[in-house]
Amino acid sequence: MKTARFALLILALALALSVAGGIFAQEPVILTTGRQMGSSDIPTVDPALAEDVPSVQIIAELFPELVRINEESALPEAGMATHTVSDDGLVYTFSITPEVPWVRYNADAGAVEVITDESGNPRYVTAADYAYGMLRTLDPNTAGPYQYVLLPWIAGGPEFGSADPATADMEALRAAVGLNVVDDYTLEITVVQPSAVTQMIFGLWITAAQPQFAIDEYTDFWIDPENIATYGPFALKEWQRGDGGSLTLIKNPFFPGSNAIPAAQIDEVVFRFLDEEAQLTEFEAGTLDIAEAPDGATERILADADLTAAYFSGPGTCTYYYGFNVEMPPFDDARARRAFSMAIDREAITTNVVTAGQQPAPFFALPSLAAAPTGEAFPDLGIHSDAAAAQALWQEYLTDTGVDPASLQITLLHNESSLHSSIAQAVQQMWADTLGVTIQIATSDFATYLDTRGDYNLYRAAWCFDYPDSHNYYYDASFHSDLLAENDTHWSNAEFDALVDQAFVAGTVEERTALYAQADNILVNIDAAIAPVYFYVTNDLTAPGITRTHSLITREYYEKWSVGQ
Amino acid sequence: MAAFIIRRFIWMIVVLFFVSVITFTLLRLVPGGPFNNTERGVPEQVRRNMEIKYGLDRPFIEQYLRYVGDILIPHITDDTWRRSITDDYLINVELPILGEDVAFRWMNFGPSLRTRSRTVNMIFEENLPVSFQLGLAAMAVAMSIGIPSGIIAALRRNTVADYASMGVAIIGVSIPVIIMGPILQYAFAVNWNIFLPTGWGTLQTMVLPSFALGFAQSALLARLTRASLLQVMNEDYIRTARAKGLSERMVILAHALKNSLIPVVTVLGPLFAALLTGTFVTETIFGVPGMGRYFVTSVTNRDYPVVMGTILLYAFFLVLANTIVDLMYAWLDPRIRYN
Repeated sequence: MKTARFALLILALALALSVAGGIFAQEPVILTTGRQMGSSDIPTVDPALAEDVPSVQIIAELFPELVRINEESALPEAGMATHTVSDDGLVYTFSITPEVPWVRYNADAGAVEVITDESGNPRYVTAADYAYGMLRTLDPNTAGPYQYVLLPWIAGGPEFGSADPATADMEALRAAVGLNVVDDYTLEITVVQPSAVTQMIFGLWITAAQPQFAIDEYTDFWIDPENIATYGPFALKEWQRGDGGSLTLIKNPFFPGSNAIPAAQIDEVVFRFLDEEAQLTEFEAGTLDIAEAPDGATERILADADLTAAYFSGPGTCTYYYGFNVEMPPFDDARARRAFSMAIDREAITTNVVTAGQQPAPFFALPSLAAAPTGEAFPDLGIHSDAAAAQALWQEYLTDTGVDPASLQITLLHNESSLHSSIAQAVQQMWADTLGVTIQIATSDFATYLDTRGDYNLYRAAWCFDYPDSHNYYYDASFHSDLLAENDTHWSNAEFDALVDQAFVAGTVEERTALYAQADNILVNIDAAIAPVYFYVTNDLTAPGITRTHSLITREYYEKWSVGQ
Repeated sequence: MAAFIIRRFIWMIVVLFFVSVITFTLLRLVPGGPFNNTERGVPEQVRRNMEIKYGLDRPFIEQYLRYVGDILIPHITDDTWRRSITDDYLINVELPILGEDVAFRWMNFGPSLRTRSRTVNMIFEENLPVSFQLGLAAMAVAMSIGIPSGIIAALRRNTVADYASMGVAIIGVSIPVIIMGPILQYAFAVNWNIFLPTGWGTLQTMVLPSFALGFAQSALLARLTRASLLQVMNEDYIRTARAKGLSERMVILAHALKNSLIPVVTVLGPLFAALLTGTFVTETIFGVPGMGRYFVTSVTNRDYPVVMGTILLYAFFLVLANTIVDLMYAWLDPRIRYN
């Protein structure tokens, strides 16, 4: 009897404890991901200094932009502000979400805390913080690697950003930049010229608000977790530096949340810096929730039911192509370039050489970009693999110019990688079979390749967009003659320039798309300055129980994800 | 002995000087630079801004002298000093005698041009200890497997024990870590869930990389120990030791083993230096946040200060390890003297 009562007491106690435990010690929801991180340390989380995919991923969560680029549609929407544009298209007036506090994770307290000023009031993110952020990005003394992307857009930006700090009156130039802080939550930005693309630029990390108080105090080390100030849906909790390290974001409970940028549902996101292969191993061991699927492992993944269920393959963010040097024979003649491009069997490459779901690219721009021509709307656009036509054109070129094919020395350069090497060998074989020309293949490490690729007959390249608008492909990829100095094909075409310029300011998406289609036709077909090969894919693995979005724009917005019900 | 160490120290300075000059020169001769790392060519103006900021626009000789000066010249700083990525020191000693916030600072290895939020010193401070741990653990594995199995193989020559341990050694030498690593991960982490596939800092993550790295080296040590011990066992002094009636146990432990370790110690030195400063393949496969990857990625990124830092560090450890090896010789073989 006594024993029974004692047992009952224990049972009741245990029950009470477990209920209390459930209430008070709720397990944090932690998601571990390796997606888009790579195995090297993340270079920075400073919006003014970031240029690479992993850094930008983290910055998107810490410092959300005035305009948010929707990851599923790749179109801009209201982010940390709503905005109106003046009738002449020159002045953007942003109404910034009020009372979003700057926060920092306090490791001793184990919680995210609002940062206060000298008098103890919360520091809110204001129009001045955005203006400061953009000026810091533009400042030549900051020497940001991505400064040039913002440079052409804001009035006075080109003058300030490309001034020589040693001789110019920097204060006057800074004051002349078209950033007008109207009040705490209103920012007016004057742009250089009206364009359909501009609001995408305000969706880039280089326009984010930056905390002057923290940057002044901690200089280069302001991004360390104990110094940083952020305002996004997540805050920086830990950062284990070094290749093979990790970075942990923790939910910011003070972030108000909006449609485009909701408050986070996951408590912590751990980003691990791992090789793709190591990610797959971790995923299989059950210790990584989101992993990249290595291209070489596609077959193995699709042979396994569990992995197949976790597998997702979507459009990538780059186009793979070969650039022809139009200043060296034989590619100084458009017929030779077209013949070589038509002789590439793109289907064969995407079915036999790159086998992770890549799509053959008959034209340059990714179909997922804003205002980009698609295969459905423009079925005849681009250059189509056609061995017979390639042979005929090549013969015509040889007869007209009297070039002896045996005397041709053609060298293709690619940067070291087994993938690039396999593709180069495949096209080498195709050109030998179809055109009877055997090219040489040269390889070098990435930095050497970038420096020297303009000296070869042709080179492998890829263009990955900075922002998902076609303008970034047709203009910024340096095929527009404004950027001829950076164009390693050395090709330019006034008609192409005119079309791209026109599409830059054109009104409707349909008008812009039609113009870009014409431009693309010049680039890859009429002039054939480049031979597009395929469009990249993004493949990853998701553990069961995770509700997520799949991004078209490289970075994911983890605040939209959830785990469990 | 003291004279020997001083002589070695002077040689070390000479070696480090030549290593630094050669590396610095070669780096600038290779095409490509630290600020040109995307397919879109960076506009000239932007690249110039970055070069000015990090002094890469200065003449070559001046750049070198500044680099060496930053490392060698100590600074006494007061409260106006602000730590930045171009002004960060490995050795910081507070000097309260001279006033508040006064400090002696020495050895600035420069910033990492790729991350621009870290210095070479920070890489040394945060990532070198990890490589040290991995290297020491791997060395322990290598020595505790390699040397005993080499001894057993030598003493039980042409028996099953000999063939078995040499067979294992052949396997260890022939299977590189790049194969061994994933096999261990799949067996112990994915299938049996005993260890974690990647990471560092807990027993669950440290065992596999240490074993994978150590096992390959143990094979080398086993073969070397065996060959060396077999040779020593035929020496005259072993016969003498036996003749004066020592037990076989004493003969091996007191006479044979010590002398047979000279070739083993010779390879242990450079091996030690290599393992301690990081191993690229092992660290990559097992996601270990050590130094190893910096040796490779800094070169491909043209991250000049990191390349210089890692190379000088390795050269320093190599010379140091070889000096210790030379000192070990004297202890192992009394005939060797450094006077």
